[in-house]
Amino acid sequence: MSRVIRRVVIGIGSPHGQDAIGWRIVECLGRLGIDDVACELARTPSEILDRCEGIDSLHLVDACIGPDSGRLHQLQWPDEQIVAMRWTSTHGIDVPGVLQLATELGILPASVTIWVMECEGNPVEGALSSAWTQRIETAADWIARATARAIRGEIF
Amino acid sequence: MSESETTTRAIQVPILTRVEGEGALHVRLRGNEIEQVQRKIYEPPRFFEALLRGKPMDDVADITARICGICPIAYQMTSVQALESIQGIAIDPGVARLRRLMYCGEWIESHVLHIHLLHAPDFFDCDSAIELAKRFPNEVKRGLKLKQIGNRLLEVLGGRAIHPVNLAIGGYYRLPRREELAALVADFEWGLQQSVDVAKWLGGLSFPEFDVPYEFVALSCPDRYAIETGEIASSGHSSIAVEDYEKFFYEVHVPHSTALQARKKPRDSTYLVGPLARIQLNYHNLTPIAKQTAQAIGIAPPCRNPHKSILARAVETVFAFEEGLAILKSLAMPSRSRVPYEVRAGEGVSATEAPRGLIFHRYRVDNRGTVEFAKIVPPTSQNQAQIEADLRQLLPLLIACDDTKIALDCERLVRTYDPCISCSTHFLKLHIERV
Repeated sequence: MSRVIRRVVIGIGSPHGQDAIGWRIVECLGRLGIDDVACELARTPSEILDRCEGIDSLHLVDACIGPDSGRLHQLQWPDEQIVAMRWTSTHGIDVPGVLQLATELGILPASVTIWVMECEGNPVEGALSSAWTQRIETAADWIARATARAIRGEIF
Repeated sequence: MSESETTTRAIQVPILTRVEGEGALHVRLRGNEIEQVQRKIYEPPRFFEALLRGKPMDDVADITARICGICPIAYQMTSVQALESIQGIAIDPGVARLRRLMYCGEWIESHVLHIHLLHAPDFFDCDSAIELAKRFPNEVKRGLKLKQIGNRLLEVLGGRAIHPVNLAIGGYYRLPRREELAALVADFEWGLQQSVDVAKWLGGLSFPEFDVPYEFVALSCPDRYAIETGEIASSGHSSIAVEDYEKFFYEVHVPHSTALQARKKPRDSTYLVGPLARIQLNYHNLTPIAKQTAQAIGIAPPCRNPHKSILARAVETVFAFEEGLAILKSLAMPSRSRVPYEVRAGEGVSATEAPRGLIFHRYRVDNRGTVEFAKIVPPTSQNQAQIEADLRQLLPLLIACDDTKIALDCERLVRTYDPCISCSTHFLKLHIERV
């Protein structure tokens, strides 16, 4: 019998430059293989809506513009800081908008955690440097350990 | 918004919401005269055509799919078909049917997203989809479920819903299993019924009176509603072969935009591509339920009102479900996933109908299959000049209005196009300057 996945981690972004940070972190998480956690990618925030129903916990991983390149932030929705942030996505409706929409539709999971890594400059240009690879692996490891603790009921 | 002197009004809308990508609109008015209308696109150009040079042609579909998060199939399909024409490949008819089905999935996803989350709020005086969802939760939820059906189809045929990887030169890397496709029939039956209800819901809206003397341009086929193949039809001239596209259409760089703008020879005229153009040119080839729906909601030809493009998208959603269902029910699985070929040098083109309109690709490859040249003309860059022309026609009707009303109506007009700036750079801030 297949197990019901109640916890989903979604990397938001694209394959381009620093916009790929969310994807790369979630791909690393997938390789770490956390039980009962589905790791997925989204190119536009609206795709989050497709995965909201029927789950208990949603984790979003994205890049944001900030001065402290590589710094990982953990935020719990709802949070004014999340709404005030400048999101790197330009596709029609942004992450806070999607979460507000899911709330209105009554499909938002009980727990929504947003992991954002700061990046600077133009997010979609160039390739990720080796320094970024290290930061991404460290971030994935951090999120994996936090998620594992959450599954054991230690936090969240 | 600001007013600098009695004869000068400057209006700024810092961000035009609910479009894909980033850009701005600048309008300068001298008294009651419109001096300048510029749709500025400042999203950085992404140089995909240069990036493709020197790459093996097998990588082209994967790279071009990355141009747009909303319509990767349009880019993949057009590039693959152009490369197949160079290699002289005739694909298996079963594979051709699967590709048409795949494209239906992308039309469903893109149209349903634009209708419900980006465009419909304008007709209910809602600032956002969030406000629309407060008033019409069931309608928005229905929209999301319809979109999910498109996702599932792309997952089956594309290998995954996000950044599909399965389309290959000559066919597919892996054919879907028959049972995977059969499982979609019930979803498509539900989707067809629900998409008609969506169209009826939208058919009850009030639309601003605004007719534009468009030249419509779209692919056209004699025997079916054109998506992935056809000749280039126009309301202004007889059909031309896709190979002749560049004899009739060209792109120019304008200083205020990082995206190119397309024009039509010989008079440097603007033209319209997209759902409204397709329905006007190819109405006779709509599937029966889609045609009935078009008649019932008032989008049958002649219709030159850009605000009714939401109805065109609704009818094409019905069409995509109806056509998709017919393919799913009658599918003869191809005997092989792709046709083998010997690499040869040459040049080839293809055009298909992306959700937002005609997309054209041209490639040249050497005898090792390395790309020497690539040209990609997306729908949004073809519509850019027409958007500016529409705004020039709209603004005299608004000149006596306050700046907020002008800004709002301009934004709404731009949104009717579902412009994808990410594709054409290739969003929008509005700046109106009254001199």
